[in-house]
Amino acid sequence: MAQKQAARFDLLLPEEAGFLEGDENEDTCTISQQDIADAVDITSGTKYFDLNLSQFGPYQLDYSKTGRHLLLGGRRGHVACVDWQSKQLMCEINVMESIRDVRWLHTETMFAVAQKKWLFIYDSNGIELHCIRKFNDVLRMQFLPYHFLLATASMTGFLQYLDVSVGKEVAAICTKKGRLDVMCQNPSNAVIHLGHSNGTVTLWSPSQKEPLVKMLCHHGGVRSVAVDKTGTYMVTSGMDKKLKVFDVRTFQNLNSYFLPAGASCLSLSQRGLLAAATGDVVQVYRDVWSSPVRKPYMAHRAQAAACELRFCPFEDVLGIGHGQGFTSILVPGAGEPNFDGLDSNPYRSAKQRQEWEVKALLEKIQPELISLDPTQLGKVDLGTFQQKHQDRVQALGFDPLAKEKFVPRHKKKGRSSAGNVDRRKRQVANIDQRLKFLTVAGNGTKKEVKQQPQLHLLCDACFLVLVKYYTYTHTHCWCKQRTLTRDKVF
Amino acid sequence: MWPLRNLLEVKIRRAELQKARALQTYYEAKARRERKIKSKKYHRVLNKAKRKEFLKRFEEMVKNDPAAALEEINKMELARMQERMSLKHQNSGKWAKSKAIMAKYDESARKAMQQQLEVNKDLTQKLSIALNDDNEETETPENLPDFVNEAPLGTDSNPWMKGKLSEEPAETKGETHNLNLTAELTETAANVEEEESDVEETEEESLQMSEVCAKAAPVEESADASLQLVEGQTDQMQPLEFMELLNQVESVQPDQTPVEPRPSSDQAQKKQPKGITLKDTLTKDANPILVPLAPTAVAAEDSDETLTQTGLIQEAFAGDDVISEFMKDKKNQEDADKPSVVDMTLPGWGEWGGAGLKPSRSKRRRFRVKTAPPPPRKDEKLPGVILSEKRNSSLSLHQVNTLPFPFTSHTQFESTLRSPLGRTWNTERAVKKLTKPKVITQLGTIIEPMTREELMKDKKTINLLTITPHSKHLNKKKKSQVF
Repeated sequence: MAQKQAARFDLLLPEEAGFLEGDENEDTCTISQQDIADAVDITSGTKYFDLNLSQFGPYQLDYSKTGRHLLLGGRRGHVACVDWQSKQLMCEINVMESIRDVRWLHTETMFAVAQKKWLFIYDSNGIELHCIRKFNDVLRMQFLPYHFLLATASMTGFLQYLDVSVGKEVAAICTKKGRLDVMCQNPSNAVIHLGHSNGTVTLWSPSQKEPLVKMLCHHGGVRSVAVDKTGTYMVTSGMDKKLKVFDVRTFQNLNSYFLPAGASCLSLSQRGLLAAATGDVVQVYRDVWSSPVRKPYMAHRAQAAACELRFCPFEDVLGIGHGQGFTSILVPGAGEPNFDGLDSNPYRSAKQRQEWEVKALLEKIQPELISLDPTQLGKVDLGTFQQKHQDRVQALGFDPLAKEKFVPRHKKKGRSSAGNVDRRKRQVANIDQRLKFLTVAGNGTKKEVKQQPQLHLLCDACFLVLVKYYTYTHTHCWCKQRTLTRDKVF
Repeated sequence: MWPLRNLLEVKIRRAELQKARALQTYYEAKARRERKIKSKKYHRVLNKAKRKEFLKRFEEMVKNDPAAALEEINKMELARMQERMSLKHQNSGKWAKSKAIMAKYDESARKAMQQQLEVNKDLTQKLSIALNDDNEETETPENLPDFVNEAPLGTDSNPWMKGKLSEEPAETKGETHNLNLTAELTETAANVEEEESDVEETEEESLQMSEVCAKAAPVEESADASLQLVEGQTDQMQPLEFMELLNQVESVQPDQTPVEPRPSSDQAQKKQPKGITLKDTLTKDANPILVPLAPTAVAAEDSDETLTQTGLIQEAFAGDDVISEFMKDKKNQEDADKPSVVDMTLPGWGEWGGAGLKPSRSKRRRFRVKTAPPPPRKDEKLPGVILSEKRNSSLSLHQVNTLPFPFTSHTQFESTLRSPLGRTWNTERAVKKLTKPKVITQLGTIIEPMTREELMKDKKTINLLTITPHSKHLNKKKKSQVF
């Protein structure tokens, strides 16, 4: 019922995704950004812009969760946070140290900067709030929004988790894999993916000291990893100039592509567009996992070598951080058109933001619940359950859940007479035959036996699916709230 | 006297018998009287007199009847031996202890205890001195007969005194030195023998206990001989030499055989199929992508050349180690999770055991506890993935581990939990429908209390009101029908 309702309400969604289609003989990857900017409306056209910041080195960037605010961090210490749509500068400082990575925290009021030695947290006005010395030599950072955890990967091989709501270090894991350069998160289950120089990608959770999964992905080192929003696909690029697409849930390699020069950065958008950067060329591919891709969807040459790529959350915009500053290009069809107003609303006011922050803090998830399967909490703990059952059986001397052995009552006449018993036995034997799919006849040929239909009936109240073999008109659900008839077939 | 011929002889015989009887009764009575005497003074005097008399008789016996004298001496010897063995007169008995308590206050008790001790001293005196005192007082010490140093004749009880006593120390030194040298020579010879034997043993890897024993036997014999030589000079024996001898005897032990490495051909063969599939997954058909724009080459003069050489080499060899390392890693993980074979053998218990001895192979095979193989790992089918088999114990604290009452299987329970009920995942209408309460009332309506009929309508319980005394059997029938 809930699914039906959701499907119905999909029609009421206000926005639609964008797209780019070329003319008959035109290739979409040859269309330049200027042409696109000229073709769209003014507001969208202003979303294509360049920031020339050649003084302070290659720029790292981060978009906030709502997609409204942009944080720029130059290698030589320049930090700026700006509302990029209205071009309003929120703050601009120079921290006088080399910067390795910048990241927004849960709102646009605070951000974290991984500086040369330690981790610093600043206010959106540029005021230094905290200097966290425990987090030293941080190379990469990822923020897990629903857990309020800042995961940092350091030069010394340590993966540390910081709870930004409480201000405590939740876990410090010594990965023993050397310098942790490549990091990304799986948004659906908050598992951190790290890429290593021996071609492996490891998956980490703060509750375990060993990696949850270790996958061998590339012949050489792994250069970049990206996981899509639903947590189904992972795209990796390596030193062997290959780009591989994996299914994260079954760990199978779906597709493998060869790029002439390899990809140094990867980014996946909300609608499944992949952006890959090689040197100063940025290519965008559409739908890398379902069908093999021959050529890019779009391409763009930046002013200098690109070192960071980010898709803006609810906009069709890709941000490129390069050696000469920052460029924002238009990629039609990249962003999710309909946002969830209660989760991340790009048009929220300050008051709404405060209310949302409080509610989000109340719904904060504890770090020990992070695991590969996010629905594991709803499952019965089978290990303990079986152990308890065994203990109970031992204590009682018999198994209370086991069905009692059927002891037939032998009577001379009446229901259990010889004839009736025989008839009943024949019935049971026939049921077994009916359930078989194939039987082998005496002379070796296979013949199909007609199978009685299985009915799957869904009860609305308790969501129990009953499987029935016999045909009849109606039955009651065990919860006694529904009468299940033929029309409740699932 | 027999046969008695006449009356006279019979009368003589009778008179003799009478006299004998009378004497017998007299002596018996006397003995009885004397036995009863408890006077200490009397006994003291009596004993002294007896001793004096004994000595006089002994002297006479020595002169006239040496055999009898010898018997007396034997008796004395026996008494002495008994005293030395039992230590009876040493104030340790009950009588002496009771006397000791009184000795503090009573002179006579003290004297009695002292007398007992004197008795002990007398009895345990050395006979030689006594003999000397008794027999050869006048002879000069130079011309002592040989039998002085010899053990007294007839004492078979002391085997240690059988051998010849040592002569004077000045003369014996040289002899002992010679003896030592010879002992050492024998020892060194034995050592050399043993070393040779050791070397032989180490050369031959297989060693049997019999051989060891055979080799040890001659060594032991020689050792014994040397021991015997040295034994005579018990006081001159060097303790170190003795220890050396002992060590030699014990040092002949079998060496442990080195373990040969097993051939690893099987392992290599096993690895190959796995390696192939992993390589396959890595080198899967890579679709080349046509890129319209080529990246601008980095303008560095030397770097291009270096790239060509070192970069190529690196690229060429980059992948070789990666696969093998990963497989090694996976194998290590699998081995770590596999439960190891527990060896429960105890040495001894039906065969020889000792330091440096291993139990036999069959025994070890019998006692090797084989644990059940672990359940199959989740990453068995995936050669390029290592999945951690660890359980998230912190998550299990929040999970359900007992089934609530109406559910009979965990899949049932999980299916009820699977669909979310909140506003985040469902539309408002869906949420309201899902969380609808059983009873919905309108605000302000009057709710009447329940009547009895309503209460009983659906329930199949005994209708208490309808039970009357004369219709009990009727109601009983009803009951059985209902249930």
